[in-house]
Amino acid sequence: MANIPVNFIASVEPASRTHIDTIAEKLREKGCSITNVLRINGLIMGCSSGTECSLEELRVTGILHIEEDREVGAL
Amino acid sequence: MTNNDIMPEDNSFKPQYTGRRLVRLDRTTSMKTIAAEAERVSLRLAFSTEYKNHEEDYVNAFSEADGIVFERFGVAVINDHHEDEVSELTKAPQSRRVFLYDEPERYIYSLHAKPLALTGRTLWEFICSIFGGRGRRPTPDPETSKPLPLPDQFSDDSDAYWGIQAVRLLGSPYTGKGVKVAILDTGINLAHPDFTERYIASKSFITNESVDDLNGHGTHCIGIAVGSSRGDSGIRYGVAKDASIYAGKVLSNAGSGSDSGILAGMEWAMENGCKVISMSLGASIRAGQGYSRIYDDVAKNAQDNGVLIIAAAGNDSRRSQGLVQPINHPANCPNIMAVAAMDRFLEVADFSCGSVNKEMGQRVDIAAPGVSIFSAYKDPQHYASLSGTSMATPFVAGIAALLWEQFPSASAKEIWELLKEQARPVMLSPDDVGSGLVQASVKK
Repeated sequence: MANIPVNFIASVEPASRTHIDTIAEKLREKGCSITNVLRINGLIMGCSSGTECSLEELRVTGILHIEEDREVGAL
Repeated sequence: MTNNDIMPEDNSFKPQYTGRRLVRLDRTTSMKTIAAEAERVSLRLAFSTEYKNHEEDYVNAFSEADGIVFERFGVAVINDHHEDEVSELTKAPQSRRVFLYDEPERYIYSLHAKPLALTGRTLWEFICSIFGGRGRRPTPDPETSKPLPLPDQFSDDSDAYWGIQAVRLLGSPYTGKGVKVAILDTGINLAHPDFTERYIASKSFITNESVDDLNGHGTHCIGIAVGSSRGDSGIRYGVAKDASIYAGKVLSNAGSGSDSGILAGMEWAMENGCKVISMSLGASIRAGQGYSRIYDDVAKNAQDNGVLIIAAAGNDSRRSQGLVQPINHPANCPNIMAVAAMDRFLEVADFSCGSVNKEMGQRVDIAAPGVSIFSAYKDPQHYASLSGTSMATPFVAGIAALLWEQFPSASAKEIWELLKEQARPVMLSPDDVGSGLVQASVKK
């Protein structure tokens, strides 16, 4: 996925949720654009810079899981 | 859980206490301090986060240590024969701010109406079942687990469409009154005559599209879950007719959306106090593919906060051609209730996905009517009959709302277990229909 920006969703470890804005800022420093922060569930949504080989490279301290933002449809 | 309408069983002949002690912990104190204070009085404590995979592990924890700390609940369960140490911890000046108080652990028994799936279980077993994932199946009641004398096929009539009859709604005194139900889909036809008298909260998570449903899918699902009767004929098609409607538009008018929008919709529903989130949406999954840890964590967090998440199993199968496909994302998450579809002959729908990835924890939990289902629709048609696991899902959501009206203090896990326990057994594989056909409560 190098050089292709990828929309992602990331969950924050429960113990780090009070620092979710700091974690989002760390992702920005890695070149990500952040589109939404959900505080109840501790989620950060954004788009990678596209320079990473894997979304795992964005797993900064405090992030529990990071996954590609998939398309979902009506069933 | 308490409910004035339910008389408890006569449990007077059964033992009340297990011999263990429950100790309330100060939740601001670190686990390290808790362990150190316990060691000071020669108590060895294990921590539940070290045993989070299997219920059996908790049992081992009790044999390996003197007790176990459930960090998320701020509770320690201490083995019997340590009363003196517990007393020291709750009374000594240096530890009583951490070990706040204690009480004997009780056995918990089910009530007549079975609001709790805890027959003969201790509180720590119940806690274990929560931490252990899906929780254990309640012991079947021999009286209620017998096949019910119900029809084996249904058809639309002047009272109700077939799906409403099949879930036994017409015999139920419950309407979902006071319960907030979120339907995350393509929005709602706000001008629909059947919804003009209803409370509706709505929000669009789709850029440049209002919540107004130009697709029809969302309105159809809302009609099934929380609609009532067809305005011009009075024929019943909706389940929880007095529930509050929370319509989140997370799918575009073209019928597609993204995980990020759906998760934002789930958060909105939780913020607004919804007890049920119904999601008739999904994405196909390959055999052997895992589920989303993020959705599963969100669903677990929702359950812990009293919110039940229900999603469609998916329509990828072609059973008549021998093809059964795995449950779609996100219904494949263990903490999301996956709903299969059945037809009016109580056969699994040809398209309904199955528990292909069950070894990875991805199972169908329950089934509901999902073939030729009548409900509200977009303008100008106003009504349509559609088929899909999308149609089955809101039946379960609506009945969950009825259960929450019946048992307002129930936890999400208890409602989950009640839905499964009350389901009508059918002569089909659990891999296809889970516990069977969802049923409404008929007694009040």
